[in-house]
Amino acid sequence: MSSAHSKKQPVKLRNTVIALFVLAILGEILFIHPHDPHEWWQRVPGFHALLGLIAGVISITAAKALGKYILYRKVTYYEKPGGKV
Amino acid sequence: MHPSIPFFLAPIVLAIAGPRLRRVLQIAVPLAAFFLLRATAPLGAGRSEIILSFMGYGFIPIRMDALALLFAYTFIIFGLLANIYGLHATDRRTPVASNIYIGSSIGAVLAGDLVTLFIFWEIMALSSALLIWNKDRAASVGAMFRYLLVHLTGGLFFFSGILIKLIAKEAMTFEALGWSTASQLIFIGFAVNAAIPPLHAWLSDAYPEGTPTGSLYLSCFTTKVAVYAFARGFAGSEILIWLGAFAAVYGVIFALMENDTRRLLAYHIICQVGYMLCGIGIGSAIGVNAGTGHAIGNILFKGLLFMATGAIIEATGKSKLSELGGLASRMPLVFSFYMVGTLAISGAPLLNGYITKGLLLKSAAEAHMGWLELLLLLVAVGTFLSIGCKLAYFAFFGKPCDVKIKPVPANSHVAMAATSILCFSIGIFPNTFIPLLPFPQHGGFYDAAHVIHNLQLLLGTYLGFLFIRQYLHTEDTLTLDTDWFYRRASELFIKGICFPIHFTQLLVQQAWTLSIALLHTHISEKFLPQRMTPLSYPLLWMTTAFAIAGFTLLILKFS
Repeated sequence: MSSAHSKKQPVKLRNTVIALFVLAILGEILFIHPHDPHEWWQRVPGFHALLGLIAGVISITAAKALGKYILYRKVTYYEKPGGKV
Repeated sequence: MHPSIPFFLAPIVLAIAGPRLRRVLQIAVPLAAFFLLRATAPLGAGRSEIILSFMGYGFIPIRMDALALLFAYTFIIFGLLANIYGLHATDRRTPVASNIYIGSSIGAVLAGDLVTLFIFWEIMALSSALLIWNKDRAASVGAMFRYLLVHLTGGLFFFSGILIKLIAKEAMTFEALGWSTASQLIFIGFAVNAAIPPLHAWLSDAYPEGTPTGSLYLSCFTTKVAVYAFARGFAGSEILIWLGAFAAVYGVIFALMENDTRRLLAYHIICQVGYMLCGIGIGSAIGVNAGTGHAIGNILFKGLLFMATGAIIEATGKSKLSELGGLASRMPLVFSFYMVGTLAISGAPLLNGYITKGLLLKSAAEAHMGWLELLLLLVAVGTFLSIGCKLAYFAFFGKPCDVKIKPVPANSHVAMAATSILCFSIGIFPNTFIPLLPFPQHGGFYDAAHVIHNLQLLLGTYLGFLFIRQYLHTEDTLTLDTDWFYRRASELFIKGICFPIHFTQLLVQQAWTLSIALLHTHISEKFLPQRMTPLSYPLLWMTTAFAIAGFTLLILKFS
């Protein structure tokens, strides 16, 4: 029971977030008319939402890859044989 | 009277006081400084300064104007909040060091000339180093010495700049510094304290090592004093925009990689200081307002985040995301305060980050820097992703950790609640805060487009995180950073220099041993006792005696 409940919860959360996400984009299309867009991306409705979605996924994947292939070391990397850091 | 005086006098008593008196002083000292400053210059008062003449130079130990007072008041208020947060701590070193640290930070922002600024700058470096020393973490001593090494080097750059100015008989007043050789050296000194990459590694190395209260003080003062110094000395320098943008991106990428909670937040200090420097580099009235306003906001929400993570560390004894999880239900209050800090730093409406980040985007737009605006939005995505999604999920949700949780002291809760209220009050009533900024600023922060764009950004980021959450794991690793150059490369460098010396020494030694051995074999073969005739010994002695006599005669003749 509890495991089914805990599995259900993330799906519910995800659906709520998707609903809010769509609402926020719709809200912008319907109600916001930018009066002074000075950059191309300010004319695209829902640009901020897509930026968050795409840039978020790319940046965390890129950061993890950077760590995994280049920068991650064992936690004892700087330790001297005597245990001093 | 200088408002730092209570902070400098208190340590004398604090060093010997009992726990009760210490608690009273921790509350009374910031209050005394607050009223002292208020009596001299109420917030928003006009410019006033005290000029002293010494050895033919005019020094200004106190200069009070809008910019300086804004920082001085914030330092005092945050000092009080941090003192309340750490009231339960039993060690004496933290209160002693932190009072000197707060006092010198206030002294630095009120300094009207470079020499006074430098003196307070160095006191800050020394007193803050003591806050890194944490008896619970063996690694903290090494981190403290590395911190000192970097800061004293930065101080030397600053000092060389001052010396060049002194020799050239230039004025010592701390105003816009221009871009001469002396100013460039001072710029490097400031850049070290502002933790601009690649000069930043001292921050991410040292800040996570202190005690929870010690690190809280550290998170606030040093970098913000440097931001103040840039706002005063280098506002409008284009290089600051580039350095700030680089710092913002660098900090956010490293934060995404990090596993230690406080180190993750430390990388975000670097990132947020980058934001502030962008505003200051733009240099317009709104740009400087945005930079300084964001510094003040950052003191509050970053302080709140350090308080919450400090509470987790004190309660669980763990600081790594890989060892934490499921704390939201076990520490609900800390979780709520943490989320206030997170939403504030991510620029959610109704919180102070929304106001100052909005100002910053506006200043970039007014300066026609669309690329900077877009870059700052990208960094905001990374900020919410690392603090609001990654840290929040792995510490407060995710796989529950199996640790015993000590109760969080009431005073820590009070400090977190008060800081949260301040974050909300600036966010909800921006017009009470905006007039305190150094330049006049128009309001109008809550237009529908701006609010909805911010919500879209946060929702989009969170949705992306929900999609990839199952593929993310925390690993107990160490991330290489530029401190590698003085922690590992310097060792290799010394080894590199020493190797030829060792090699030559070894060669000479070997040659010497070999020749002795050869000589020994050669002589001993000829003069083996069994080969000696009865005449051999007298002959050997006589030859030796003649040789010595001849040698002596030669010396006597030619001397």
